[in-house]
Amino acid sequence: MKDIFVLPAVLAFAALFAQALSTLGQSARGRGLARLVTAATALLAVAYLVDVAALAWQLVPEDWVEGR
Amino acid sequence: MRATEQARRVAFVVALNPSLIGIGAQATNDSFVIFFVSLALFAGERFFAHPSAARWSLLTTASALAPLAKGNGLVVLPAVAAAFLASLLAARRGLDRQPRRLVSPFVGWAVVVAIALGAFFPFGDHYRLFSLPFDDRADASGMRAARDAFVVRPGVRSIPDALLTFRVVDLLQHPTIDNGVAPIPLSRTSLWSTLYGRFHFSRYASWPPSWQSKSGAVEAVGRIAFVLGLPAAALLGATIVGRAGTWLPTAARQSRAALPSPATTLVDVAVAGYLAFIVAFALA
Repeated sequence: MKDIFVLPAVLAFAALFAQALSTLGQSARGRGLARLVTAATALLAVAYLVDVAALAWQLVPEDWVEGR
Repeated sequence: MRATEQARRVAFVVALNPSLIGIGAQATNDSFVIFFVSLALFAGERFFAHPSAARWSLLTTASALAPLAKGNGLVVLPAVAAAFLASLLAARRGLDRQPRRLVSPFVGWAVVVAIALGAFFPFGDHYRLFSLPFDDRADASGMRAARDAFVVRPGVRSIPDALLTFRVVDLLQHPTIDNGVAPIPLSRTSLWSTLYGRFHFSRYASWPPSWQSKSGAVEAVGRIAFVLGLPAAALLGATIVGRAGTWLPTAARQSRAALPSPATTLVDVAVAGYLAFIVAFALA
């Protein structure tokens, strides 16, 4: 059940999502929902960055970092 | 897949995804299959919008190399073939002024891909090893279709448990899984929960072992990512169900009139194909 089995289609999933977000934002009723999804996704990008930064920090060899 | 503002934003977020960055950091064939399938989809969208020799070459090269990089690259081939068929049907409906201009590219694409796979794809080796044309080392012999079965190191335990659950509360309680015998956390037994966990948080799978972390701060990052990913997941899930809803009546009526465009067909069949692939793999 590894995600690599679906990740090759990541561009297709992203295209579908972008299209859905764009369609949602075109209606007056969906605009608020589209803003919510956009804001949550933007914050998700920040969480991704923190996740990757923490992983990179953990993987830095001990002898590269004084006092860790 | 056009470069709309929305698509650029989504591409930016996807580029930061820890699962993809993690795969990129490892010396495996996964990066290659992701690259070639993405390239095939990108070139395909451009080719079916405005056919040209250069775009056909890119589409064909990427289609041939994707399965050679990793077996699940094969799944993109039905998507490209379906897009070719959709373009031919559109041409027969009179939507295209040059209906024959796509026949030769379709045949050429199929011939090049068939030659590449016939020459380099290890169908024979896999058949000798696994009695299947593909590498299938999954052992789910203990799984039962309708109820949970005992599996020594559980992933999927039953069809309802695997496919009809999304264990978000469990993900928040246990943002990382262990790779031991005990069936805890339960998100490990739910296909969609596992995919969600692995995609949004680099530490979820606790693999490779050096990536394991029980730090409270790191787990908090995972919990935050799981919550923030929910609106996007809900929208994507609803969109996939909605797309299926547009295809099923068309297929039931065998109506050509309402067939989606080739580019839409390419994306829809790729998404459906890869989802079907992981479901089939999980239940194999």
